[in-house]
Amino acid sequence: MWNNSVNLSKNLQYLSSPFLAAYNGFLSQQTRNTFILKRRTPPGLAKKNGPSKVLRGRHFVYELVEDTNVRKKPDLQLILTSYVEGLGNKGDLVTVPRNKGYTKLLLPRLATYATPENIDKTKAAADDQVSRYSSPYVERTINVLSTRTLPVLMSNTNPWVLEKWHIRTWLRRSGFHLQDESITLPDKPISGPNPAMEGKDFYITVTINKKEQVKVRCRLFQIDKKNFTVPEEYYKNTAEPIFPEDKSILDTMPGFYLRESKSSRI
Amino acid sequence: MAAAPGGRLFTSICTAYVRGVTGCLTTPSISFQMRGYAARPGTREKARKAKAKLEVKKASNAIPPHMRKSIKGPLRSRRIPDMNKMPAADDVWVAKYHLMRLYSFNEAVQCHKETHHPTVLDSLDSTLMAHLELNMKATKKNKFIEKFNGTIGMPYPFQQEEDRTVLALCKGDAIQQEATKAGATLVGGSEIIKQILAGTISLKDYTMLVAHPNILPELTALRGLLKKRFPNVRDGNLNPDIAVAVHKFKQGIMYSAVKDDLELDFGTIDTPIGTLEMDTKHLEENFSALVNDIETRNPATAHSLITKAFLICPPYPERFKVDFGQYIIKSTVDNTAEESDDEESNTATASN
Repeated sequence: MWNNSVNLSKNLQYLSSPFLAAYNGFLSQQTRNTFILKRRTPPGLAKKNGPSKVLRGRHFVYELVEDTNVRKKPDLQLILTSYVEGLGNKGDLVTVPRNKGYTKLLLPRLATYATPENIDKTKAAADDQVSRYSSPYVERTINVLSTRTLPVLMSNTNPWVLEKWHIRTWLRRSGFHLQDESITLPDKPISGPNPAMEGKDFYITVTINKKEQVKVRCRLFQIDKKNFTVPEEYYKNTAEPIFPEDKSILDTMPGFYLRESKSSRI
Repeated sequence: MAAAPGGRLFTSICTAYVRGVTGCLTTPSISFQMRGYAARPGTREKARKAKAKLEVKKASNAIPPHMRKSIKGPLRSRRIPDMNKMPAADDVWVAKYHLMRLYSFNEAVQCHKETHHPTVLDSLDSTLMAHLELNMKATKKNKFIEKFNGTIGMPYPFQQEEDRTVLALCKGDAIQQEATKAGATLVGGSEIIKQILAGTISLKDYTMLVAHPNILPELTALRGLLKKRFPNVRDGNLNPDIAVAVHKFKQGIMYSAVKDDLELDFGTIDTPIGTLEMDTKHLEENFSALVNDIETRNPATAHSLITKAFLICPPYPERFKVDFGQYIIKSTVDNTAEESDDEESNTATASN
């Protein structure tokens, strides 16, 4: 109430000033909202060519049908002006939620509105470029895979030799889907049960779309029957390699804490 | 002299005025219904009954008052979420960014067999369970299917953990011997019915009662005790071939649809379909039998009763969404898993 009166008095001040023509603020913008109402008691139709019905008090009681301000707004259609991880390459048409579109794409100028002119302009420029990755999701997959320490659980009682399907099983359990052909195991075979290898690291190579390659750190745990729990927060600790010659490669691989700092991605 | 009647007149006018005023004031608030006759018999009782009907039914799992503050936001659905995400495009993909992977039945069983392999978890004797999500909508709008139980004789039976006791009622030595051979716990005729009525045998000790049609006249005496458990042909516990009936309840699987208390159109069924040691084809046939038996309970032809199917192997937490559409034989229901997902999301928005 107080604010309203202050605003009104301000506007009145401007009105009384000689620069009235220059000032554009007083009620220059209409409010763009609509309340769709419905009469609780409709008055009924008048007779043809007859006088209109007399409206009584009850005819002026309304019910709210819809407030257009709270209507869900449609998604934005944008065209990417550069490659965006997990979304698309330059020149791709994408449909994203409004808020995400404004804050993550339009503001940093990663995309523009998909008008016919913008589409022509961006697509012409995009055709010349060769994309870095085989698909827009590959970089994200590489980022997630390379910072993960994959727990590989093997039997502590029955003899085994590590095979591709073992790795595929544990990758699936950790939330990665792939075929056996994408996995490259270490050159030397790993077999057990072997208490010397318990809780030690090795690495495998995953090939995405037969093009991009990423090394994944794996940690071997040997478990008793039906016991599939791994040590709590094992991925925060470092471990010795199974094969000493792999140490230099394992040390260069990004760890858990790097992933924490890179959390602000789209 | 004249003053006295005049005064009386004045006072009487005054009292009349006062009465009139007070009468006007009081009549709206206190209204006595004067009746020179007795109320019709049963009128008050009727009124009381009408009042009782108005009582609001409380949901059985309503949140107790001391826990209400701790729960923030709307209550979470118990449906397994399958969001509107992009389908996977690469040959290596991260599960959480894409649509839930839809396995064929054989693939899903193979995945479970791999994790429970002797070289890994070493527990191929684990029970394979089907977790089914149901659309409990009936034919009419805002009407829902009641919770239901069922028993199926599996094409490939397997050892189950629970111990079941079957009471078989029939006349004639030959039939009674058949029932005993099939594995009934107690077999008898009208003498057992008398004992049940006398109270020496308790029906609570038996998981299921199976009867031959030739004992039906005597069995009617138990109708009051059995109520819904009274043998009938539809449930399969009234069967001229008593051995088949006993075998079904001894070896078959029992399932029960559990209804969600908050989402009235949502129900689940968790039931074993075999062990991982079994052949995948046998497991597939068991699964097919289960799915078809559940679909027969569907009163609405517009939608499939089952919306999603998962294969789980407790206590191991991984679950695989399975394409079950191909196993439904009914010609009227042609829903694929994707269509049912759409339906499910529609119902979710409607309930919100």
